[in-house]
Amino acid sequence: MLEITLNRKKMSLLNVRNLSTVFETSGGRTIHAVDNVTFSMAKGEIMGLVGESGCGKSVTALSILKLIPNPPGEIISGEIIFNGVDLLQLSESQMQDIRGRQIGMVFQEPMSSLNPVLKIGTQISEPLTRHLKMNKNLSLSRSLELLEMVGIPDGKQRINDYPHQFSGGQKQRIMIAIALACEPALLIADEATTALDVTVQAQILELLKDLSDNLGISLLIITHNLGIVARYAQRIAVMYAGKIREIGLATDVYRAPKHPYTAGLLDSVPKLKGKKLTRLNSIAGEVPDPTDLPLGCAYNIRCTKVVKKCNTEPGLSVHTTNQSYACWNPL
Amino acid sequence: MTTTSQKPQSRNGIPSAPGCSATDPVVSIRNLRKWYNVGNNLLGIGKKTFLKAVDDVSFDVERGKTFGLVGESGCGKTTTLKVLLGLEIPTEGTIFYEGEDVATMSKVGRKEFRTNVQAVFQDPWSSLNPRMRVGSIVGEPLEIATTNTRAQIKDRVSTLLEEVGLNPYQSNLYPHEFSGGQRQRIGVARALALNPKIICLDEPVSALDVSIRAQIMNLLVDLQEEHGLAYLLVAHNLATVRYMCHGMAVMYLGVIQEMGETEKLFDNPMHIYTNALVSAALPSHPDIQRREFLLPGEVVSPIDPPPGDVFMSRTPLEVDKSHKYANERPPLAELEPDHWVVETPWSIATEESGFKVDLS
Repeated sequence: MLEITLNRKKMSLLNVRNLSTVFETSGGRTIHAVDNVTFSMAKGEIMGLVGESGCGKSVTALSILKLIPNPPGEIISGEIIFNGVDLLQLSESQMQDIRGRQIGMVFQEPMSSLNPVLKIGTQISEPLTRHLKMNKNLSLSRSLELLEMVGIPDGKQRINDYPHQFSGGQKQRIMIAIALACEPALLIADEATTALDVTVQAQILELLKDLSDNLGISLLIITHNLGIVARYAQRIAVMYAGKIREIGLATDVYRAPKHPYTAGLLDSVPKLKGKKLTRLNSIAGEVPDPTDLPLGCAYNIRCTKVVKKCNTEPGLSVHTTNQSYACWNPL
Repeated sequence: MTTTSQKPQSRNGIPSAPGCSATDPVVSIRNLRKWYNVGNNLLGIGKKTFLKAVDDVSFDVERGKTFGLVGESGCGKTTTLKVLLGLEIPTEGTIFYEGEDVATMSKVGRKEFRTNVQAVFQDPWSSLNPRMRVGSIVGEPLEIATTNTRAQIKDRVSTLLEEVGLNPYQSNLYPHEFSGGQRQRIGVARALALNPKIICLDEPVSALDVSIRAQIMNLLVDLQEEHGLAYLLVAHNLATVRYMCHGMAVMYLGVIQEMGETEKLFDNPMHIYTNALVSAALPSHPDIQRREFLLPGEVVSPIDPPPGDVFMSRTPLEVDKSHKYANERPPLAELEPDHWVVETPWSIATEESGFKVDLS
């Protein structure tokens, strides 16, 4: 709401406004997994959504796709404007035309995302026949194209193989091929490279970046790895306990973080370059229990810069046109 | 006690090996091989095929210091650690603990060895028994290996919990009542219980949240200083290794490719594979521009690797198939003091080839 300049509003592909998603626990308590989240993404932009486990980054992604299991979860408020349409107003069958067609997704575990009893050719052509109504021949030739694009050699033979015949990196490439089959406008990669080896991770990320550059696809990278965002994303949003705490241009946020949590995260990562530290700067304490968040800013129990006012919730305030943060006592 | 015969002898009867120069090693591993027979048919006839998880690995872990093993999955780093812990029986090779060959130790000596070598595992969710209270988990090693009374054990558990940053009253709780970082602290307390000389750390922070990792790493470093502990650290994250380790080895397909003092390896990574790992390691800041290159392909299968250099099939440089090292395993060479590398015409990164990553 605040960080969107007029200019970006015009070209934005995705506008998430005041999105709130809750889950009911079996104990009858409510978890505000995503709490009043607002951000936007421009066409062709790569954005990193960063946070620790339980901060709500994956629930944000699932909310955009309306894949929140109900019950126990529910999107209680907000708007998700994608290409000018509010996804929250669409019916389930209309959503099915958007998932895989206009918004692609790649999840963390390639092993559990692929169907083990179907040939990968069948799985890649499924979105093509479902969304683009391609016939068998067309979808086969397109599948081969896709396999080549994601860098799997000998497509003609491999298309009849089953998922277990591929390595972890190759399976993730296949997942990307499926996600890109219909050339979606937005690709959501939820911890897509976390389970992979570093050299393979670099290959997959380079592939995603090239595809974004060449096809103009917007990429929402959801990760806990600040390095991925530093290397690939133009913009970054930092989430903590369901809320976006800082959002802006990656270079600005990394150079001068305003929120103490962002600064703490950046500081606690050991570096490859420079002087070897004798001690890492760590953030004290633990992520709070989501059913029992502290009053006011949820970070106040761990924060080193806490002031009296932190007992009330700060809104997102604009620092520059390129950087906003939610903190009463910023750096 | 040692029974090494023809091998070159050095200090305390531990044979010398390229790259192993510790003056006071707690643990020395020499020519370790762990092969798994994967291709025997029912009657045991036909060609035998082996998965060579660890193939001729030697290194020292110096007293009070940390030695790191890095590499991608399947490179044999965890298998090496498991062999040291006695969870796998080596196919070949020797483990020396305090200069003594573990394989020929007496029952008493072996018990002492087992007491002094402890472990902290990667996943704090699966490495603690969910049905045991924390007090029993941390106290179990004491119950098994010592003759301490219950009251003594209880006291010791309280001290241990305090030492790792937990509260003594928490010994009555169950593991599910703790967060990931706290569980890893419990794992560390359990490893410390018997006052070991060396702790094997298998990816101790990779399953933890970013803000908790630094806490655990700092804790491990503090405990090392206090108790003079040695660590054998297995990790895939280079920055973690750089922060924690004094010495390190880079493994690929069961073979050490580069070994030496940590700072030397990071100042001047020589092997192309080490450079590839550094290049693939993500920058901590968008302003950091690093020369990037990607190795072609993925880690090849360790089943029946070719007899020559294991890196041959992965190198971006031309391989001369008639070269000596295309057909026999190349040794580690000391290219600068305390910095050892597998040197072949296709393994060394140079400025000209474009595979050298500059970190300084």
